[in-house]
Amino acid sequence: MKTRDRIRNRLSRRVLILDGATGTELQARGMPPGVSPELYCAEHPDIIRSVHKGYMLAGADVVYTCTFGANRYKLASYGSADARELNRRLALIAREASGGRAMVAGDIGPTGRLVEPFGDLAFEDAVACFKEQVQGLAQGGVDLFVIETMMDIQEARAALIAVKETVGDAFTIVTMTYDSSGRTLTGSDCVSALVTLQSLGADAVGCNCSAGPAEMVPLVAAMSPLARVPIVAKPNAGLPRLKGGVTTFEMGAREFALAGRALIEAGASIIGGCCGTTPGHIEELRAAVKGMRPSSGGAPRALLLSSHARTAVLGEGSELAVIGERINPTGKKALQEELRRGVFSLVREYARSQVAKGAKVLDVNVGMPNVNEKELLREVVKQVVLACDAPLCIDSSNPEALGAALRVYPGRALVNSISGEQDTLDEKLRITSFYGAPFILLPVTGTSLPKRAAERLAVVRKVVARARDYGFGKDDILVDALTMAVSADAQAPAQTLETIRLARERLGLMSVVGLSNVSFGLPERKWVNAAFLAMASANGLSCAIANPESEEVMSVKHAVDVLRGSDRDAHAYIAKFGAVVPEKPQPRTHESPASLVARAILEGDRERIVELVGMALDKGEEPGRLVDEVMIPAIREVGRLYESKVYFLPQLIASAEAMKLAVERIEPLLDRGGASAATKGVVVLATVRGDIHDIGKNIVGLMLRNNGFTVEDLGKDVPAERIAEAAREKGAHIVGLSALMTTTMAGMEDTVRYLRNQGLRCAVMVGGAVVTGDFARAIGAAYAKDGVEAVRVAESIMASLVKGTEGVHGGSR
Amino acid sequence: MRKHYPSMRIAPPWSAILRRLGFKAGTTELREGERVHIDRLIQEGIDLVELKGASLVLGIKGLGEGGVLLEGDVLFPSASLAGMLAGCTGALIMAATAGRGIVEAIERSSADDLTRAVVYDAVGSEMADAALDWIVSAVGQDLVRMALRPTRKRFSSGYGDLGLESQQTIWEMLRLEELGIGLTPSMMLVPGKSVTAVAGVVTLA
Repeated sequence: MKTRDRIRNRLSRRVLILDGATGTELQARGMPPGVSPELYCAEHPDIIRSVHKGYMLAGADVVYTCTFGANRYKLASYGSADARELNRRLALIAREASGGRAMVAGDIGPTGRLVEPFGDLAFEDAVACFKEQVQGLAQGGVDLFVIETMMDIQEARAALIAVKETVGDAFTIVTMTYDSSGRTLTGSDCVSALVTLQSLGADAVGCNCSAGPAEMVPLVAAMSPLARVPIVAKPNAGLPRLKGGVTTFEMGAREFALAGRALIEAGASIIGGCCGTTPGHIEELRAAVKGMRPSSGGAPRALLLSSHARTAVLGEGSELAVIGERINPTGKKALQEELRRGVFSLVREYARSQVAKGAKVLDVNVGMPNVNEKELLREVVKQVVLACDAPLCIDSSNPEALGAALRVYPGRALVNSISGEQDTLDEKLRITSFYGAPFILLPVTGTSLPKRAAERLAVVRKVVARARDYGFGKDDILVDALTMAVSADAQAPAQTLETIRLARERLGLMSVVGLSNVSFGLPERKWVNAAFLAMASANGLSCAIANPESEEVMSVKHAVDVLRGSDRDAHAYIAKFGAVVPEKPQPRTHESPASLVARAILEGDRERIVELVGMALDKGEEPGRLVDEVMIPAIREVGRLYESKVYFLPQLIASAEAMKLAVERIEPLLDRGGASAATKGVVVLATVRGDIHDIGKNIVGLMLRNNGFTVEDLGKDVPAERIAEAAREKGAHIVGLSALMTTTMAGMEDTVRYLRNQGLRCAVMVGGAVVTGDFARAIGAAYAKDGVEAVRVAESIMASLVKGTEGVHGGSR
Repeated sequence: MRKHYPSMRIAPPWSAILRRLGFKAGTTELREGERVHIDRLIQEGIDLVELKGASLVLGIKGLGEGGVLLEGDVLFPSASLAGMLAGCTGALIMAATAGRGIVEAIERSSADDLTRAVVYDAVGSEMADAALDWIVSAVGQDLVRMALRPTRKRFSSGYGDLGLESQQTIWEMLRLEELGIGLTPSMMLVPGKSVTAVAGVVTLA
């Protein structure tokens, strides 16, 4: 009996038990830290043999070969190169130890490198590396393969493809490792990983390591509803605890086993143990789950798409999905030029903006003359993956380009499209089926489009029948209902609607339309598009390829979701339309213009402050009084609110910027001889030499200016000589210095010394992340911790200068 | 093994960004629409970040007052770093950058929209710092099978007695130029939102 049948047979009756930890068992048997467990086992076969036997006697149905890190990249750090032979040898040891009483799984772990597009390891290099391992394990006679502890979905895909391309239909388990947020280090969630891996051909999918059984239950429960393969859980013996610098796993065998029952109840049917578990844990686990029947699955009817970090469910009961159409060079000159130059900024921008507007899936098309579509499509797919999390619809008529893009896409993409064209049908079905991708079925066979719905349905039937031979089911197909321009044929929309209805009612198939085709040649196309979307959805449309930046289309989509019940309690609709942006508060009739100016400063209203100052002046407010009695008190109140943490930095800065605009508006009107127009003092500001951080200094400058100081900002990385020169030239009362690093703080001391050597007696005020009051005092400077305090310190310095006091250092904190 | 992470994806450290901006839960008050506006700025900042990173684990050959000597005779003349690495078998050298886009956006905004600039600044700093956390976790997953783990504590160039000159050593060791990270004559990394750090590697048992 083949392994796959053997496992399925067992799973139909009971839970399948995997072994427990290898690493911690080897350490317990004396393996020193820092060595390669694989090379250690090859040198000490008796030790790994005893680990395998221990698990087998404990009742494990499957034992893992000790080949987790036996790949060329990991082995290279130990100066060992022959990965294939090492895998073969360790597989033979496991087989010998099992004596046929347990199945042997060839264990494949991560390379330790991240695979493109997330890392620097080329996808094909990763596949080649894993193939080496698979060949060795197969030669050693393993019964099945297990790809485990993966944190990068792309690496898991590479390993799974390596198994498929090396040994064909071997039973393969893939488990990822998730942190406490429920995501892998590269951001994949367990549901997206499940969708991606089960469609790519994994026979069982799940999670291992990182967490104890209790923490794994929610992951298993999340995967269970969409699982079409058995779910695997191989938890640690509880969460690791650090005790006196030593990592320990504290969950005892009995406790672990009882917690394991919850995994089965949540939907797992293959379970075992990871770090910290022992044969004792596995023995107890087997006993605890005895008699429990694994879940029989039964995933609902739906078309599942995934990116590396998001799942899209299309189908009955799901929302009307919009597939964003904008990444397509047709009619977009700027995009065409960028793509030809190998520049992808517009691609990334279109990707992000469409997702922000509500596209559930993004169509990616690079078809244009005189480009290498295969290379370009692959690159654009990688760029879109890095720009957003939406699953993709890969749009090309070129089978080779489709294959190349599907290979590097770290999810389950939709293929757009496969038609009834005899020449390409089988090739496209073969490629698409290898990567487990669903597809859009274009009901076309020749050069002319079938006009009537019945003719289209005939082509659909033919393609569906052929697709079945490649393993496709109805949930893997979306029928393109062929949208034609109503301006060219008034009957065309009715035939499209009929195609949608017939596909659903007669064949049980979901459908899609290329929405904007319907309005071609008409003015104000958005209304026709939106109306047609509503009509099509009434006939059962599942999704539309459309521009999500059309407000009309997206509004209809949201309304449709409410009306057909997929937006339960109208949550999404209310979220979109319920939070109507409030109008800017209109001036209250009882509020004076001066009070409105104060409020605008308090609220950081940069949009209206200039207008409000103008209103106040028109009402006869005297400019000097407006500054001294309205604006300055308002900005001081902002400072007080900031210091008491009622305001945080963005609010402080917004208010300061509003104040700045108000001052700029009012400054030309101030009486040159009056108090408001006089400067409070001259401050030269700079970030010291060697330091390139200047945002804190910019805030200080803004705050000082708003409070009546004249500020000369010299920028960042400024040498002492230039600071001295500016201080002399501007007649500075104060030199303000900023530095972020301890190492550049020394530049402050140098600058102070230089100023004094040059005979400049101006006060110095310092600040920055690592600067302290003690340091400031030590170099003979005043200290201000932030922009608000800088104003107070500067005022204190100026007051002392007026009194003729010497040695002002202010700012004690 | 030296590793480059040319396109890192991490969960944005939203709370840390708000904390860096001085937000205090329960005390800071936001008016209607203000939180939405700040969140939008944070999201814009996050979209501008292009995280890249690098790591390298080296064995420790010697520790003392004179500093730390690593495999390949790499010397970090820092007693504080040597103190932190006491009891460690190795050192994890790492670097991360938030990329050029966010730094350019901060500079552009500084002139006419300082509110945006300070939010972007906080996003850039916290994203780069979170990238180092990510690298520690990623390397940790590798090390655990060898019964090793990285320490939570880490030390950065420019702090304490670990001079900025060490930044050049790290820059060269990690080949940061290949990730688009440059080094100024005053040993500052460019783009500005770039960080280097050293953590320890200890045995699990």
